[in-house]
Amino acid sequence: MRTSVVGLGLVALAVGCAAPAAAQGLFTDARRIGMGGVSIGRSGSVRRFNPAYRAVPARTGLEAQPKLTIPLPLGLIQFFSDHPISQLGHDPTFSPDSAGFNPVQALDYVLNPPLFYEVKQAPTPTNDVTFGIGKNFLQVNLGQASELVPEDEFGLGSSTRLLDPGFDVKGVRVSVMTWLHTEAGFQLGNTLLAFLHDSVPAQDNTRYNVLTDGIVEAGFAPTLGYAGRVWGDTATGIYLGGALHYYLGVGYAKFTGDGGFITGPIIFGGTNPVTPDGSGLTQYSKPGHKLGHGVGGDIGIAWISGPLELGFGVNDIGATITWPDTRQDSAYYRDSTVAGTGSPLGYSKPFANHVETKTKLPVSYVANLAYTIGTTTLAADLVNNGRGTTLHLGGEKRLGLVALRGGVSRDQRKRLEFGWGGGVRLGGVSLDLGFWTHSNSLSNERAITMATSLSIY
Amino acid sequence: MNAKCFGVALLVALAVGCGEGRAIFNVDVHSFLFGTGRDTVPYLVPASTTLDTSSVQHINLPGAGSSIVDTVHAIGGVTFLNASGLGTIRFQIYVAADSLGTYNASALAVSVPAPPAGPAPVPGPPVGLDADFSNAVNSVFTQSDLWVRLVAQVSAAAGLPMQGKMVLDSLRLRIVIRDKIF
Repeated sequence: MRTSVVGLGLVALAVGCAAPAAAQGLFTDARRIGMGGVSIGRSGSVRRFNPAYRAVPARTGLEAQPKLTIPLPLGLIQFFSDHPISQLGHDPTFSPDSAGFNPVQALDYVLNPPLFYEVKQAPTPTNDVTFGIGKNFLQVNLGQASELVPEDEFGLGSSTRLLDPGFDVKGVRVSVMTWLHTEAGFQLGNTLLAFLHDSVPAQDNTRYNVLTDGIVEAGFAPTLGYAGRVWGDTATGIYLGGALHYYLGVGYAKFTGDGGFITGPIIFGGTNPVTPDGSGLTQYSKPGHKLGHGVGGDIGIAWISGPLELGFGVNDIGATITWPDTRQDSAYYRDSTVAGTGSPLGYSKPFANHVETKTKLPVSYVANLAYTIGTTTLAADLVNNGRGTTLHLGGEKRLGLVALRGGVSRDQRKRLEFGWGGGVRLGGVSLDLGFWTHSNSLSNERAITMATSLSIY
Repeated sequence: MNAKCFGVALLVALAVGCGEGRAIFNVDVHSFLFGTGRDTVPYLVPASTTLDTSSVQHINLPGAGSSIVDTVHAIGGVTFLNASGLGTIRFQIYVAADSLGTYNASALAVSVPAPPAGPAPVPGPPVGLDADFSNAVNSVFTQSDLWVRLVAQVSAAAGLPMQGKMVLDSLRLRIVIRDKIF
């Protein structure tokens, strides 16, 4: 258990650091953080989701985008100071057999990889929880913590493009893009949701369950793309872009499950208050099997008119991957006796093999707007990366070598978050600082992250 | 899933849900006894004798692993229906992890005196209980098997034997636990 918790944390750190800035959760650029996550200029989400921006010339001067941004991971320094790497395996925070084990904090590290410094930690709810117990009565009152019980599907996921090496000839681009799609989610069944969230007493002979699903799929995609100006000049023009991908899937695994427990005729009448049960279906096509295949595309448009620019891009349109050699297994678990006191009956057996299955990459899109007046740039973007929409509004005011930034966003929980910060540019290098509120933690109060990064122009 | 595993699952939910908060179990002990006949303790005690008569009941709790019990508080009441004889009566509760253990002196959780009993009026005034259990028995409440022995400790005066019964009207336990799951 200890290993799994530590391992989970490290995976979260690794995955979190590698996650694209396009997601709401983690940006690596303090400039962008200081503007509430908005992409100004021609970088970040805009370039990732809108293929037309490949043809839009880069800004110059102080408005230019950096060639390279290096995050200064003060949060990792803090993390490894608090949790020395040599003792990570025995760290009380992650060791369930330690009195200092705190599952809330461990999970929080998963949801908020500590790349940057947490100026203000989201307080962990510490209210009491009350259980009411009678012979045929069970009620749980989580107090304020019940607000944290997710009423809708709760999950993590991303659709990322790790590398896209290729070459351009007069706007035509030939490349091989690598892609990775991950999703994991769970949703409480109605009875369990009412039991935990609304403190509804448990009923006898009733099933309480959680629905889970998850998918990991990855591959590469030979891509033929085009981006170019179809009207106007460099000052005012319309740019179109598109890309056709032939997706080749190296492997995938998908799990759909339904697990829970059934209360007895009298909840505390026997030795087993509840009988667990669960069922699931796994399907996978391992690397080495026949490659999955599918066709999809991206389109984008950008309109540049002096200080004003508008853009809209959509990714992975129609990207359905057909996997010709999939194995499906069913899994089932339940006590073999009605009383629930017998040997548990559990099995996993092949359901079908070498069958064809299909998966679908989520359609992602971005709409962006930017306006520059003198030394001030204001921008907005709306991003949907397949797991909800986020809205960012922000701006930057340049005062000589110093830049002041601010912004606001609406996250996937539909909560307002705020960003502010600044930077100093010295020649080809700038040092930037950004503050960012976030509500990803297991708390209803906002935390504040301080991000630092170094940009090279 | 046995009661202990279920209890640990509940406490995991608690730990995730409320961090360092406490778990409070309100257990309606009377509901486990009602209808079984064990909520009534008949007694027949010879004159000039002190005797314990009791009934034992098993109660399933969710179990709380290696958690630490802060306090156990009991609220309830009994009524003595003394048909004959004179003397004094005490209402006592013993708890243990097995039925035999409830007969150990160390299993005494609480002891409440009743008003001096006489043959009339019948029934006597209800005896209220509102007290903390002895800390010595706290650890029992982290287990999924709880045995409760309700005792009528009767000391009959000289003359007639005391005969009657003790009826449990209600008994609720408030168990406060600091969660330590593993």
